[in-house]
Amino acid sequence: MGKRTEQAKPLDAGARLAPRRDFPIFENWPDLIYLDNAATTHKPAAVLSRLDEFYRLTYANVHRGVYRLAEEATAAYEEARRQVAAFIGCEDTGELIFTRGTTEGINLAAGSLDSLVQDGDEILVTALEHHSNLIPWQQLCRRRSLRLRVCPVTPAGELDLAALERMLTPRTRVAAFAMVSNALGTVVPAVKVIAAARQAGAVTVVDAAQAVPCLPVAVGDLGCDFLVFSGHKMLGPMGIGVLYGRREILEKLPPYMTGGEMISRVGWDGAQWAELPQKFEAGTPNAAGAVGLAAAVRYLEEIGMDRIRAHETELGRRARELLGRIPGVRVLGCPAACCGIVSFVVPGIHPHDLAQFLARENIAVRAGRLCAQPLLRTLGVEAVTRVSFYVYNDLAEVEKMAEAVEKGIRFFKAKK
Amino acid sequence: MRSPSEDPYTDAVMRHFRNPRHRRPVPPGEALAEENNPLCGDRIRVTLRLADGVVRGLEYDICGCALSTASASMMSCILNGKTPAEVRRLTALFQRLVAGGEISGKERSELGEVVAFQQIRSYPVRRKCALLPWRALEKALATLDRPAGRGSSKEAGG
Repeated sequence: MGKRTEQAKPLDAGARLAPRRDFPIFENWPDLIYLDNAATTHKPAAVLSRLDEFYRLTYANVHRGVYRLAEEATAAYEEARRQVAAFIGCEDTGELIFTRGTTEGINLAAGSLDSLVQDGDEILVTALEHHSNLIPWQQLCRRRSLRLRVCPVTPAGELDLAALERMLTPRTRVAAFAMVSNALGTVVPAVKVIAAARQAGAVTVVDAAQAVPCLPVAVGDLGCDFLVFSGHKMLGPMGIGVLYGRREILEKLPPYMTGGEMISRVGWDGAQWAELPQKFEAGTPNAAGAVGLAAAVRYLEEIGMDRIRAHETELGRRARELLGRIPGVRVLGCPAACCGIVSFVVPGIHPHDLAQFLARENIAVRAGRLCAQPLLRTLGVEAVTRVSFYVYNDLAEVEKMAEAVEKGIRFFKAKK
Repeated sequence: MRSPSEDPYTDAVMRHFRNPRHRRPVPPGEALAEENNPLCGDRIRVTLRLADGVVRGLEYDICGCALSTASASMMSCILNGKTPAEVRRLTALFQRLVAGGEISGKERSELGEVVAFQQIRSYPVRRKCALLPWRALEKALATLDRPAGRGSSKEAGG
């Protein structure tokens, strides 16, 4: 049998998937090596011009006016909803709620699920969580005397699936987890986790803030009840995000915010809620953001999410390899499935000093606690330096980053 | 783009970072104040005493970056032997310095090496690093102002 240990890689593996010239920011910062994509991503001209076009040509408030301009604005907003829904394999646009971002999506889920929980229930999260998928659940537990349980991670930075099985019990009402860790880049086996949680009777909430930008996500295949993500981490505008929720469960839940546009009939003594998705979109929505996000989705689809995943994996793998070779560097975690997010520490050198040194070399990285204090504490570190990649990065940039890290270590460790 | 002259890691900063003065392990019970930076988890504990109306034994224990460590070291060098009133005035001066405010020639000479931190004005996120030791110091001095701490000091008011 012709055994091959490694899958054949295309010759251009690690080359940019999107040219820098598509991103106007690099015209103003031509030497910048931007490796802070897990924090936010830059915008292609296609997204910026779509925003501009929306404000210039089809701008009015949506779902209100009957004049033609308002009809066009509403049509653009709803077309954006259709495109974004299709991007995550959601066929029913009533299940696609526009939010401000992941944080609002999780708060919406946690706030509305308040009506489904009972005293003594448990909520399960994992040790990989970002603060935004932890604190809303902590608060819900506090309000309703629930128990918050945390599924541990292995030293490799992977979810401990055996522990997960044990911790899912008939009392587990909600299982909420990050599909991709914002600190370690771990890709969690979401299908498995969701199947196990559903079997236990739990409502599943997927924090896909780092997943939707870098891998193909189809809510139908996942089988989750909720999935949330942000536009700005996937080339879209800031202030727009998505909460996908299964119709069956969204119909059972009360609205999270109330006000205009989310009602069907209002009297002095009460109101009836609008149909989905408007029931969860109180007030004037960020229609421009939604239209911009749809443009970002089209840009990503043109590249292909499978290619993006392969690219992220390749850059992440190379970064781990190069950083791991530098004496004194400890790369955090070594998950079998990971994408383009790598965190590391250099004992004796503060992450903010290292990041500042890299900034001097025109390399933008993140340093600090990554809004993941409990996870970092579990791994025995206070703060880290993190590099994260996207479509406009290439292997040469990864190599320059590793060289600069080495140079930085020499600078801070110099005796005099 | 920033010019190299705005680099925060000046020779003076790196010298104090590599050899911090008056730094020693300070157990929590002995510390007069502790401060931390929630952004990165850096911590500092400060201790000092007042003798004959001036600050003595200003020492600290720090787990921090090059900037906060150098800032603590320089702070301890210029403030030991000063009255609480002088300490407060120099602290305000330091805050003005890192915020990018105007500093007179006379004030520059009073601050001495600490002037190296003027570069921080171009790095707003790192201001907190430079200020961390000084915030802890203010807190430590405040504990001495309380009636319980007053007995040890002849010049408690400042």
